[in-house]
Amino acid sequence: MENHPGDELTAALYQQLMAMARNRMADERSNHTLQPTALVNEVYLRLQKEGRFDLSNKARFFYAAAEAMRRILIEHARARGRQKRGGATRTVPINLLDLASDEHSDTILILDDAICRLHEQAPQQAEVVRLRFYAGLSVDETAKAMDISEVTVKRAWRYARAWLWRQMNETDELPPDVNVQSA
Amino acid sequence: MPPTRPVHAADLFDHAVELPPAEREAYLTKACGADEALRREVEALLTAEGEAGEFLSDPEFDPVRAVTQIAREDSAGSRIGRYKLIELIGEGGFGRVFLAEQDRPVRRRVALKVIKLGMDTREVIGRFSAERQALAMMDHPNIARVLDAGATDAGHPFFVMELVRGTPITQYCQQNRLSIRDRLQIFLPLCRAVQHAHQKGVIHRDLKPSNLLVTLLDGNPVSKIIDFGIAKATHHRLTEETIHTGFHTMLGTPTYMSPEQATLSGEDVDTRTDVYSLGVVLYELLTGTTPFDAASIQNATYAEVQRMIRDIDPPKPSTRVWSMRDTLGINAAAVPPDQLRSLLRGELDWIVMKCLEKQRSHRYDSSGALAADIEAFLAGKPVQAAPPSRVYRTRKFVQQHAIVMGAGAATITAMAAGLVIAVLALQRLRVEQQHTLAEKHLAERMRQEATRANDTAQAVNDFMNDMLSSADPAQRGKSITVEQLLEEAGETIGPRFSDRPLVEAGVHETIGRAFVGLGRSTEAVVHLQAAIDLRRTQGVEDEPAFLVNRAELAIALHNTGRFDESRALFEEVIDAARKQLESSDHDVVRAVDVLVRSASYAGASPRQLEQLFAKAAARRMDLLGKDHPDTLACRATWGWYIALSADVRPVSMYSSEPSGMPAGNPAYQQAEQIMREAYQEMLRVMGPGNKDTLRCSSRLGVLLAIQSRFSEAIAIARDAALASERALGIAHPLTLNAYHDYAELLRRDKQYEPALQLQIRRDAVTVEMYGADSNAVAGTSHSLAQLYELLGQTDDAIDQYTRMLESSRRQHGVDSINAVFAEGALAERLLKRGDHDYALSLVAHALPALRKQVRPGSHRIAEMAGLYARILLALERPDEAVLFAQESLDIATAAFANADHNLRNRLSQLSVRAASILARVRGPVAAEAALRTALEQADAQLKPGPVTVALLRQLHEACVLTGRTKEADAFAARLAGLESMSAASQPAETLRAADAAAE
Repeated sequence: MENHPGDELTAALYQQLMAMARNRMADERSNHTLQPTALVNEVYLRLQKEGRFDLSNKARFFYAAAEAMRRILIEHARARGRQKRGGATRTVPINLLDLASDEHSDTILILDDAICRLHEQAPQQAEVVRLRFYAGLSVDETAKAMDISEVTVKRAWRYARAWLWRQMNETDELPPDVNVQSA
Repeated sequence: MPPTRPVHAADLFDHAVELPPAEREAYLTKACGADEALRREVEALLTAEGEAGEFLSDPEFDPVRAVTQIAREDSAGSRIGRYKLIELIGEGGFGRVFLAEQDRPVRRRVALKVIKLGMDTREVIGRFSAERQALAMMDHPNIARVLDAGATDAGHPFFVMELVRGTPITQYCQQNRLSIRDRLQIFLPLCRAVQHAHQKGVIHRDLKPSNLLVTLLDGNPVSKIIDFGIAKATHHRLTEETIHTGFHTMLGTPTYMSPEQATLSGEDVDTRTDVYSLGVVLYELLTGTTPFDAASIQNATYAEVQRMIRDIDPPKPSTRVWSMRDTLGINAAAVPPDQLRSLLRGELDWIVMKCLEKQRSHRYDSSGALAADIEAFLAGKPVQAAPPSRVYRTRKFVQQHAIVMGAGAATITAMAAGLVIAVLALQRLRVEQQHTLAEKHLAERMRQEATRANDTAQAVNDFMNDMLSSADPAQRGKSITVEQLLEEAGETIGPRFSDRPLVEAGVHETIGRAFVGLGRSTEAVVHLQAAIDLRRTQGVEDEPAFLVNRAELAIALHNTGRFDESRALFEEVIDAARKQLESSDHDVVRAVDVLVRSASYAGASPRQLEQLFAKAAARRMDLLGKDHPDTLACRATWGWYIALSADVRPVSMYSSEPSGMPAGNPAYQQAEQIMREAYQEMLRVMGPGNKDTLRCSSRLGVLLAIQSRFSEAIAIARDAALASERALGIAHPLTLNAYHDYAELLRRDKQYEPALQLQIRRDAVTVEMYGADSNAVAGTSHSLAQLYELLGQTDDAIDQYTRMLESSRRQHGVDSINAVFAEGALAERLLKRGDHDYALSLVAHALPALRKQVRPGSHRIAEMAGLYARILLALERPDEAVLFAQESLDIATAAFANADHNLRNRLSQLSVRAASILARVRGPVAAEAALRTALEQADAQLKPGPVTVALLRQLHEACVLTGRTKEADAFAARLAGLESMSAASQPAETLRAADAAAE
């Protein structure tokens, strides 16, 4: 007695609404990609802010841009968290814009890690990758920035791509060098 | 790749990859010799090279070139269209702002803003053009005009605006250490300007300090809004990546964004969106910080930010400045934190919080209304903003506790647990049990409906389901609340059921009831009344099933303060229910429900109720069986009313007079036996965390307490509270109520310290779970106030009464009856402490407000007028004091004849006080009639004591002075008899004696 059906009705309505809202949230799993313009602007702003926007020394500027882009992508990926482990995303051919998307937030971290390892063994090849991949430099620009021949750039690029591709598609095994070192 | 050979492998790879595939094997055999590992390595690389395809190459995108392009375009000295860029004057995530020079058609300096976000320039410019006409119509001194728009060569949109070289308003106020008043003065024209824009059909959508600039004009600060029309054109809204990636620089932080903008569907903005953003800015101006901590927004994920903006109520500005008192907020402005807090508390809090309401319909409906309230505040007039009423901060929790003014002591009775709301628990606590409970009740209700009138109930049900499914958040954003849903439901009823009045009535009733549950009584009245009207057209309004409808309307009327209408309706309902109980075999349960609910409001006599419950309990036993919860609850209540009708004096746990009723009264024994039996069964059948069980234990406690069996009473109350806590959690309203009962019994047993500890805990839990603004705080602060007072901690008591007053104002409005009573209670203590001016200001408001809400002869007016008189006397304004004392006396005397025992007690005390004031100001001779009246009442009600002695002394003196020796002797004789009992000897002590008696 002295029940207030209204109260319970309200409660029930509310409960249903909350359930609907929860479902909706679940549907809204994010899959957003950084817009290229946004990405570029961020690079620009970062270089500005760090006082590294200096076109008088092109080589230095290109390195700075590549590094800024790299850090933005990695921060972005870290913010998203490494949720998507497993090989599925790794076999997809990737470019820079792919990597800026959510579903590749893992990939960019793995790739960058691989580039770092490449750098230990083949620094020149790794440099070429950084400039070409992160800064989007052409072969010509890369050659000038690094003060090497275009042929060397092409060769380095080809090797690095193959090496990284292999790394990216084999990471389920322990890397061979780990085996050697621990042996 | 073993580290010893990488370069070697690379060389082999470089060479092999240039060979035709057919020749590679031969080459590798030769080059690697016996080194199988090396060979495998190179082969793997060759395979990878073949597979890699477009891996890492993207001919479409060239970041460095794009970056340099931006840089080139952005430099001062270059031109954009007919504008020459002179100087970079601002930059943000959106792009950059230049001071630019226009040379044709006129030569002038302008601000040119290049937007760098990734967006379709053509679309932006198209949207801007669409709004251009409206923008052109805006002409306001506090709005910077947007003059032109276009695209740069690199394809970015740009806007040209009237040049404003100013400082963001927050920064300006901070730097110049402006007072709160000056801050409001600067802010005010902005509200007017926004209103102007709204009238021209332009919504800003992106109001924030960096768009609200203060510039000096002839040395005077002038505030201007920039960027009108730009947010819409640039489709300025939060997109997920902006928050996720920490790209706050890109779009600005969502700090100033309204809940409706924060939902990603953010299309649906209106003028109240700007009101919200203005509210955030005002919050920042007043407190030095934004409602949601900027750092926590920066670090939050998108979902968190969204939730924050949508669901979390920020602290009131006054609370915020207090919580930040150790850090530096606004306090560059050298205002001590406590002073700042008290400055913000009340109106400014309300104004800001009204802007920040999650639901637009609760905000100011225009920024003009906001401006008007700020002006009203500055002018010291009342503001429109009332304390916020939140959906989930139910008012019921305390509203059910009728406030009763004692002679100077407001008392909240805490027994009626009838209207405790499940929603609260659902919202704040997510108590799973409650979900199930609510479902069960709903199902039960629906089932009952269905058996009664299947098609009608079904139709009502369908309608509500329809409403629910139409509330699909996917279609309308996620912020649908129950209130919105109900509002919408309410609006669509009419057309839908025009040919089925009973169904329509059912829907109205359901919605009305839900509004009652939400504490929105005004809306509830509309719907419940509509249901009755419809049923009346069908001639069925008296049917038992529909009677409850009328009882609910009466409750809603009561809650809106329409007491007389409410009471009349209750009486009607009780009458009808009683008849049905006599005549009908069906619907007894329902009729009893109605009766019980109605009777507790309408104040039917205990004996009538006892008879009804005896009958009802018997009927229920027949119909439902003896173990049915309804039967048990009914029996328990019957027992209670047996006790209540045992004496002409109503039993109240909180009555100021000790009841002095003899233990061993047979009615009490009978009541106790019935209640104890019912209680044991209820514990078994319904469990301890049940509303009815708890009510029973609570009443049992009272029954024992009035027989001075405190330890038994306290034991029961303690067990009940602990059991409820175990079953429902500490924060459940029922548990809190149970703790209140427990604490009240301790208080009655004079165990003030333990009672205080319990009440402090209850208060803390209430604040934590329901918010510092919750209505329940009025109740907890009142309990604390009483205890502090009993412990002699007057300052603490006053603090609590202040909280109670604030809470009442916030929840019910400044002129509400609750606020008025709270003002009286606070004023009473302030008078005691000597804060006469403050006390006077409170009562000066309370008395006229009270007159509007209660009938002219109400004893409440007598109480307030009496208080007013005492304050005036303390302020040495005797001429005014006597007027109110006389009024108090007249009303009290007129009311005395028809009052019950408790009320007579209070009335006689009022009369004594009033007569004392009259005697003191005018002398005993002129006050003789008053003194005699007071004496009559005192003789009838009070034990002979100091009060009587004081009255007799004055009357004696009056007779002596007028030479009526015979009468004087009679008084002297009585005095002689009493003298030994009393120490009162000076007329001046009369008041004090009366005070003492009243406390």
